[in-house]
Amino acid sequence: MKDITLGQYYNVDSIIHALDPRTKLVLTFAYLILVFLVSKLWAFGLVALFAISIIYLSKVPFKMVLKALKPMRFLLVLMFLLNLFAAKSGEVLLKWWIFEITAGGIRQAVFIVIRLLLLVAGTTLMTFTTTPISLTDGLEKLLAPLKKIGFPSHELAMMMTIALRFIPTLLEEADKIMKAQLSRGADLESGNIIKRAKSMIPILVPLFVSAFRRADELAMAMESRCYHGGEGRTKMRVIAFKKRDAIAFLIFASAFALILVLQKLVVF
Amino acid sequence: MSIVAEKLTHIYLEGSPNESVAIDSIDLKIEAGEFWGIIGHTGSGKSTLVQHLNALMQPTSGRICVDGDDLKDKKNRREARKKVGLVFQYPEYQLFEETVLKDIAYGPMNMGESTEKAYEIAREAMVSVGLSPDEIEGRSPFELSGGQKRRVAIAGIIAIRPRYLVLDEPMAGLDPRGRKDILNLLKTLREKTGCAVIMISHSMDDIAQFADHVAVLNEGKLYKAGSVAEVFSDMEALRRTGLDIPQAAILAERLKKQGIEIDRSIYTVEQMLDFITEKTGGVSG
Ligand SMILES: Nc1ncnc2c1ncn2[C@@H]1O[C@H](COP(=O)(O)OP(=O)(O)O)[C@@H](O)[C@H]1O
Ligand SMILES: [Mg+2]
Repeated sequence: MKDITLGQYYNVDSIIHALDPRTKLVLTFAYLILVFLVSKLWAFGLVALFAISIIYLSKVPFKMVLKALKPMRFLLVLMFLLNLFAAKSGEVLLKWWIFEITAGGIRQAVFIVIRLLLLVAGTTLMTFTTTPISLTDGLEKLLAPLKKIGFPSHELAMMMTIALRFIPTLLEEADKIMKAQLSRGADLESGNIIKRAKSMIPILVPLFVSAFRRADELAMAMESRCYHGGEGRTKMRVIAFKKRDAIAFLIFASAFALILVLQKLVVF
Repeated sequence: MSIVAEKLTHIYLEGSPNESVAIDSIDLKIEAGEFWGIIGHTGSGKSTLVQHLNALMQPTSGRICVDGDDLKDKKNRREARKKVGLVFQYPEYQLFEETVLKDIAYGPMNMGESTEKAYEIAREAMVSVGLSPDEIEGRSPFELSGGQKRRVAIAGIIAIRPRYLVLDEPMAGLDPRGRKDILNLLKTLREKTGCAVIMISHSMDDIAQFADHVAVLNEGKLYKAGSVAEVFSDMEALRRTGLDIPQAAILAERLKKQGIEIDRSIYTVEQMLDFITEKTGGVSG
């Protein structure tokens, strides 16, 4: 449970940390699109180089990013194999029984792995460098124009904030309840699927009871502090575009444009 | 028979920037049948220490043995969970069954007892925590009062019939009446079954009155450990850690300053009462 690094904030001071959350959200989104537009091996190399420089600037140790990628390893292997055998185009390199490995298959399998790695590395870096609170703040601001057509952007942001706030609490709680039941001789590891699912009941029931209790208490605490939705609500920390955000946009835009143009121009 | 910790060390999140040394080279020996009080400030490592006693946590370095079996060996861990019953802080949050009886029987059933036998043990456990089986066994644990839930949860561990009963702040959040009930129940249980009790508590007075041994933790280190008389004989050392001192001991100290001769160590209210009656009895008679 403690190995879940996705969505965790890594607390250091860096230029990347200091950027406006909206900047990071938009640029991460642009980066995701870029990863899908790139279709040449060397271009992926450039994207990776760019991502590595940003990680370097963020002062988040590479080790932490690698640790965040680790839980994906099974997914990566699976995706690799699926694409390797499923995609059939180009020269047939190997043939065995019903399996066929083609040049196109290898290409696609390698690409999907690189794409997934780059995607997760990018989004992980965003959560490493942005606190959940400012992330949802940024999202709320970005979605604010949609309020005019009745989109509940404040409520959505508040729900996300609360959910993010309670994930560590619930994980801790689950850990504690699990230990408490282990102390009572619970066996969570052996037996068939049905037996194992059944052995989760002593953990899930108290966990749900406690989640509801917490939700209840939180609602009460919010109401006693006169929370009444987003109308007329001001922020303690006002997020604002600064010069560095403009520079970040410029750098990203030029780098992305350069990569895409090069890819178009260079034939191999 | 004893629980022995040797150079027991636990580091949370080792290698990460948030790593914290929760307990640091602790040497401790707890004999069967003893009543230990564990004290220390919040964050001093008490909860981490007791979770090692039944192998819920593994030491980063050092060793922990229960009745001679090293808990590093996976085979010994199940046995240790049976021998060492651990009541967590706010244990009422672990209740999950439809009825009180089934909830208390969960432990013994996991330990391999038949349903019949487990229910019988559960009823016994209910009685030993001062609950009446006839009244309560069929009720849902979620509709009981806070103090009753706490007792049901403790009964759930007592029903495992541990040789060592470990409790992490069992009185936290209870009213004075509830606190007294729990303390007396532990005392009676120990007298009846001879099990060792290891209790984390913030109340020096409770520990002075009920425990026979004390371990003082300070910033992850074992600051002092020994018999109650030994540990409470050095008030200055306790004071340096900023921990409370038993009320009776404070009174004894003040009396000494007033020039009254006290020929023994006093740290419980009863000892003080004895001393005063003796003294005044001696003067008037
Ligand atoms: N799950 C955890 N992860 C990281 N650090 C922890 C964890 N649990 C406890 N700690 C740290 O270990 C130290 C000892 O905690 P704990 O054993 O709970 O102390 P106590 O029970 O005496 O209050 C504290 O500094 C605490 O911050
Ligand atoms: Mg504690």
